[in-house]
Amino acid sequence: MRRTARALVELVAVLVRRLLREGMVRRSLLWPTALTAGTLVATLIVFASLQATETVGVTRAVSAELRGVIEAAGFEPVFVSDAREAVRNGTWAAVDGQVLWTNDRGPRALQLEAALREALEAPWRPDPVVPLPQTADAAPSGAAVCRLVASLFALYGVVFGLGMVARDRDDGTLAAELALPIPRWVPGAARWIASTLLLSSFYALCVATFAAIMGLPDAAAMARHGAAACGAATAIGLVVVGRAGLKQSFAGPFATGMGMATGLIALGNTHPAVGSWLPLASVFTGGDGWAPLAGTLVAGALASAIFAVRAARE
Amino acid sequence: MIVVRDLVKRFPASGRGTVTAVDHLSFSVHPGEVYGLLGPNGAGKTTTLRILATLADPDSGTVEVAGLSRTTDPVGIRERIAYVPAEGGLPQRLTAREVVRLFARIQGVEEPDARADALLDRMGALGYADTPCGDMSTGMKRRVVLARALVHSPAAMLLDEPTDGLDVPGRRDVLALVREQAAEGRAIVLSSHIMGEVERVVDRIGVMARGRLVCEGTLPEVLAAAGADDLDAAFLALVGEP
Repeated sequence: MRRTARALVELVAVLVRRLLREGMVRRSLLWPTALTAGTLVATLIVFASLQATETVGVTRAVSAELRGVIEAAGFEPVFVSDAREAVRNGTWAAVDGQVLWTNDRGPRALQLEAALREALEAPWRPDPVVPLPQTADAAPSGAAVCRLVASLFALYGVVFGLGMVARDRDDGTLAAELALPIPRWVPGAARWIASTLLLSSFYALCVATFAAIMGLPDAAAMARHGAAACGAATAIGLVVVGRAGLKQSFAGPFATGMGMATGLIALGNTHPAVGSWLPLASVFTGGDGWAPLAGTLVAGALASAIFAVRAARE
Repeated sequence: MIVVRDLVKRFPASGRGTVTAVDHLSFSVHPGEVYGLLGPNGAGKTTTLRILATLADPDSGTVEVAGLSRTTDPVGIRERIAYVPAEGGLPQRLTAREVVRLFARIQGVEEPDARADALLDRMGALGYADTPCGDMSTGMKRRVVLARALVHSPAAMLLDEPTDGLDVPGRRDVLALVREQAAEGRAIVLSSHIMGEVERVVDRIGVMARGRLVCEGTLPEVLAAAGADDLDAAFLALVGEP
């Protein structure tokens, strides 16, 4: 028992290390989060920079002092010959020393008006209150991105489950492990745990990133759904690999595994009430994620048992 | 040490019912003896070694290693054997040191890290102990595989085509290591289809063809049984090749 536990821990550690040493694996685990988050941040930066360079048309009649006031309010004065015509031609605001012309009804026009009125010591000025963006507004988008990434990671899980067995069978690694004085289910279970741990960890990183950027309704539940999907997908890969190696018969099990994984995800979409209970199917449904997580443990145990039975028949 | 009696293994074959890979095979190997299992491709050598290593289950027959039955105590047998698959079985992304240490730890060897380094040193592999296995030559890999196999001081070794893909110096070194292990009292079963190396290293020979043991004995006995002057001719005569 002690040797079995030690072997399981050692094999899991080594398998995780092997996976992390593959550049393609590292890139595929980081890429979805990095690219999506990077795109989002870049969009915000571009948006912010565009906002900062808003210009206001001013005629020569506008004094240097008033132009300074406009600048101080965060706008860039640009000379125009006729303020009214400038606004008609598309400039959002222009000043001729007497009138503020604008086609904008939003807070920036009020901000400009307030700055001008204050400088001219007018008896009153508007004070627009701009509502702060709420994370709750962005949370559904964050959740949608996380669900898509979970689906992608689930497909990785199928590939990991299949590939770790097929490749190790081809190069004799699996035979060497199975000849160790440990139960036959251990190498299969180690592969399931290693793949699930790795995928779930990187998925948790994705969830944390989007929870920080956009907010998520329930980040922990989202992480549980993703972990359940990764585990179930790896179990599918382990089960469907059969006697295939990378050099032969790989395409059939690969197609079967992908079909099963995507089929379960689709089931969750079409029957959310059922899907919320099943790993993989729960990716696009709600729920706290505990039932799918328990389901994936059962799937992992079943896959390890099937692996052991099949190993004895080879 | 190793006793095989009436071993049979059949595989399902698409459209042909079953294929008998091992057909009523019996032989024994004593401590300190190198037993050469010879045969053409598909003769059943690898299947036999996999059954001995408890990687595959036979349809009938018995196997005993160090007095333990394969049927009742497969884990006990795996504690006492070292199986070296023809492919080697070295993960490409792990270094030689990591591989040998992993097996030493799982086998429950005392001071596994020191034992692993000592074996790599003994096999002449310490110089590239931190090189990923995927970057090693075939000869380097064979030394690492043998270090891994010996990490728990097994009573018996099952070597499947141990010199496959090696150049002449590499083959010489591996065969010398095999003889060394036999001299330490280990029972060794070595499968091969290269007659020259078998002549140099084995004590007894078993020639397999189509799953059956067609001849067994020392080199002179096999030559006499085949009526041949050299092992190549004897092999061809015994396996029924023209």
